[in-house]
Amino acid sequence: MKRSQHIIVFIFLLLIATVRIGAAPSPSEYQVKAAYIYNFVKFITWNSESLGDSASAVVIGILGNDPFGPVLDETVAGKTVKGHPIEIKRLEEAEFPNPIHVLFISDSERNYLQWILKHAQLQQHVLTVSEMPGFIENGGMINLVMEGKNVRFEVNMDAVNKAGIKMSSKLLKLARIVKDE
Amino acid sequence: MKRFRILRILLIFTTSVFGGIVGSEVDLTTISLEDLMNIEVTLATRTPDKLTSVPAAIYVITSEDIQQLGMQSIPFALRYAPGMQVASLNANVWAVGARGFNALLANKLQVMMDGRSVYTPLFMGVTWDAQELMLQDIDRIEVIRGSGAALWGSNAFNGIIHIVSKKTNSQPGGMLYLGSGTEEKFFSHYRYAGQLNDRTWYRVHLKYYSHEPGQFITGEKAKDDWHVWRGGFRIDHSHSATDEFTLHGGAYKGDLGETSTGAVMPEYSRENVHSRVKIDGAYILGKWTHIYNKQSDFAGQIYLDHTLRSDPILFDGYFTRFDIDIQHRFPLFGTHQWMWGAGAHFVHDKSRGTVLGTFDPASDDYRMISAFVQNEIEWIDEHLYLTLGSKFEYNNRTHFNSQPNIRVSWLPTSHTTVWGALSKALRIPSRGDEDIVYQYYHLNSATYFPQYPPRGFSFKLYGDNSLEPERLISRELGWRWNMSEKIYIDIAAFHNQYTNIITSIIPMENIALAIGQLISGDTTNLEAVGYRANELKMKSYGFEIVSKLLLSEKLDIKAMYSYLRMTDQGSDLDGSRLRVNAFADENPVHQISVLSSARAGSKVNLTLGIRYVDQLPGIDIDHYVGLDGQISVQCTNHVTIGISGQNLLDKNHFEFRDSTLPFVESSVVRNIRITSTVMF
Repeated sequence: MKRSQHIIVFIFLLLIATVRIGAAPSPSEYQVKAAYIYNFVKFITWNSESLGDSASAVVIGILGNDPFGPVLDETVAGKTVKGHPIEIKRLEEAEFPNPIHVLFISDSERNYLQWILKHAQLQQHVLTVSEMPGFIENGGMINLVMEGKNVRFEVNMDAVNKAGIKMSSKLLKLARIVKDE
Repeated sequence: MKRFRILRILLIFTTSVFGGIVGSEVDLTTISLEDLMNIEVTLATRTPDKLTSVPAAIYVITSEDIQQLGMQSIPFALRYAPGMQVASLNANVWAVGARGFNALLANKLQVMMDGRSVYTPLFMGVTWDAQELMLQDIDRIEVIRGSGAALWGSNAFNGIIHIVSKKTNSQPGGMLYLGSGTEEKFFSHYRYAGQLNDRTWYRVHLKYYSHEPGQFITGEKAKDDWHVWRGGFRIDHSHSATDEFTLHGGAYKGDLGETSTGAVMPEYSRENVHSRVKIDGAYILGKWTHIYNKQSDFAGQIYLDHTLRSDPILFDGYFTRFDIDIQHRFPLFGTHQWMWGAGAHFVHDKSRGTVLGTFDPASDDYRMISAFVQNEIEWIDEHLYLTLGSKFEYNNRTHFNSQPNIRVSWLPTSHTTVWGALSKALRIPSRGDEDIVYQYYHLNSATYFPQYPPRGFSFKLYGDNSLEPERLISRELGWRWNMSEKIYIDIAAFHNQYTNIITSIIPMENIALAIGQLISGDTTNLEAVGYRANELKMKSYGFEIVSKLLLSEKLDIKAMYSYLRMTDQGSDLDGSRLRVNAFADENPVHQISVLSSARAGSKVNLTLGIRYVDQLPGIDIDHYVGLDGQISVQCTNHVTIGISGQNLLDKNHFEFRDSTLPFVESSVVRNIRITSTVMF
C-alpha cells in the first residue's frame, strides 16, 4: 500500500468508530453535577442566622468561568428548599456577596484556590464545592470527581465541621470521606 | 472514485459531529442521590477558557496526550504540536525548532522547566538528552510559537516551550512504571508523593532509561545507544493561604554514543569516528509566591544549575549558572493590569580542547541583568484588550538592548478571539559564536586535485567577539473559535523578518589562497579560514491550523497542519564568500499530524498518532509518514498495561542531517514496547 492510502485507511477507521446507532441519550456531565449541587442544598442545614427568614434565598455562587452554562439555573428553576427559593449568582471576583451558602469554585480559579478558601472560611457557613484535583487537600469541602463516566463526590469533614455546617447522614453515607476529624 | 470516497467520509464525519449533541429528558432533581451516582454522563471538553483569549500562538500538550500515546521523551511529545520542527539525528540527538531555523544546536528557541531555563548558554541551544523529566509527572507542555522576548528575554526568539510539572498534592502515593521495547532495552520510573505535614507535600522520583542503537545509512548498526539515570524531588509548602514555597531539585548521569565523520581527524581518515559522551548535572530551584488578591501577586525564585558534558568531539567542559528573578503583578486605574519583573543571570564556564578545537578563552563569564514591564489594558469591557510590554537587558557581551511588543485581542463573542501582535526580538551571540576556534573537514587535497601531491586540506572556523545580536521583527495574526463544546479551531499566521543572522562564512579569497598555495608546490597543509558573521537577512512566513474535535465521549481527535516558508533575502554576501548554513531548505514546508484517542469503557484506551513531515531538500531528507500508537488497559485500580509502537509504518527512516557539524546520522527505527504502570 502506498503511504497516501495508509492515511486514508487510517482516517476512515477513525471515522467509522464514531458512528453510533441508536445510542440512548445520556445527560451531560454538568447536568448531573448541577443535580448534585441541588441535592447538597437539600441535605445540608445552615443555621437560622445564616439563612434568614423564609423569604430570603439560598444563594449559590459560581466563581470563575462558569462550566454549567444555563444548566444550573434550569436545574433549580422554581425549586425551593424548606421554603427558601434558590438563587444563582455568578461572581467575578472573590468578593462574596453576603449571605452566600454554596460557593462553586471553577477550575479556572485553580491558582487562587488557597486564597479563595481562606476568604470563604472567614465568612463562616459557606459550603465550598469544586471539581479540581487537590481541592480537598487544600481545605475545600466537597469535590465532584469523575469515576469513569460516573460523577461521585468526596467530602472533607474537617472543613465542613469547622465552617459550622451540618450535613445529613444521607449525604455522608454516599460520600467518599477523604479527611475525617 | 477516490474523491467520492473522501466525500462520503466527510459526510459521515459531519453527521456524527452535529448529530451528537443531545440533552437529557429526565428531570435529574427528582431522582435519588444513589441513582444520580450511577448515571453515566457525557464528558465535557476541557479546553481551558483562559487559553482561548491569549493573544499569542499557544498550544498545550496535556498529560493525557503524553500518557495516552505513551510518549517517552519531550522532543517526541513536541512532534504533536503545531509549528514545531522535530527531527532525530540519531537515537540520542534531536533537532527541535519553532517556526524554522531547525538545527542540532537550534539556538532560537527558549525552553523552560517549571520556570527555570534549560537553554544551554554556551551554544545557545538545548541538549535534549540532559533535559528529561519523568513524563508521568508533567502536567502540561505549553508551546508558544513566535517571539516571547518581551516577557522571557533575548533567547525566546522564535518560540518558548514551558514544561510544567504536576503539583505534589495532585497525585499522592507511589507509582512504578516498567517497560521494555524492541529499541529500548529497559526503562523504569519510580515516583512517590506524600505529605510531610499538614502544609507540606513532597514527591521524589528516580528514572532509568536505556536505548538501543539505530542504523547507519549503510545498514549496519549505529553506535548511538544511550543510558541515563535521573532523580529528583519537589516540595510544595503552603506557609499560609497566601504564601507558597516550592523547592525543586534534580540530578542526572548518562552515557551516550556518537559518531562523527572521519573529517574531524587531522589524518583525513575516511573511517567514521565513534566516541562516548558523558553527561552529568544537577540543579536546584527555589520559588516563593505571595498572593495579595486575585489580581495581584508576587513571585521570586533562585535557580542554580551545574552541567558537565564530556564530549571528545564537540565540547568538553562544564558550566554553572545562577539566576535570580522576581515578578510582581497588580491592577491600577481599574482597567489596567500591570506586571513587572527583574532578574540577574550569571554563567561561568570552563572547557578543555576537543578534537574539533577549543573556546578561546577556555574559561569565561557571562553576566546579564534584565527587567520587563507589561501593561494589559481592558479597552472595551470584556471585548477588546491591548497589551504593551518590553524587556530591557544589559549583558557583558552586547551591552544594552530592548525588546518591545504590542498585542491586541478582540473577543467579539465569548467563544471567539481574534488577536494580533507586533514584536521585536533578539538573540544574543553565544559563547560559541564569539569564541570558537574549530578546525574540521580535514580532507585529502588529492580527492579534488589529483594532479598535485596530496596533503591535508581543512576548514578552520573562528568566532568573532564583535558580533551583533540577531534581530527579528515579527507580525502575527490569529483567530480562535470554540464553535461548540465539541469543536475548537485555532489558526495563527506569521510573517518574520530576520536581520543580522549569524552564520559561518569563508571568504572566496581564502579558498583561492589555499588553491594557489597548492598549485605553487608549497608542501604545508592547506587551510580555508572562515568565521562567524552577522551575514544573513531572511524572511519567513506561514500559518498553523489546529482543530480539536470531541466526536463522541468515546473519541476525540486533534488535527493540525503547519505551513512554513523561509526565504533568503539575499545577504550582505556579494558572491565573494561561501556560506555554510542553508536554513531555508532545512525545514519542512508542510507538516500534518492527527492524534486520535478512543476509549472503550473506562478501562481501555486506544490512541493513534499519525504525522506527515515534508522533505528537507537542503540536507537531502525525504518526506515521511510516521505512525505511533498505544493500547492501554487498566487491569485493576492499581495496574495498567500498555502496548505501544513508534514509527510503525516503516522499518527505519532518516529525519535529519546537520549541514554544519560533522556528525553521522543514524535512522529512526520502528519500536514496539510493552509497559506496566503500578500505582500504590
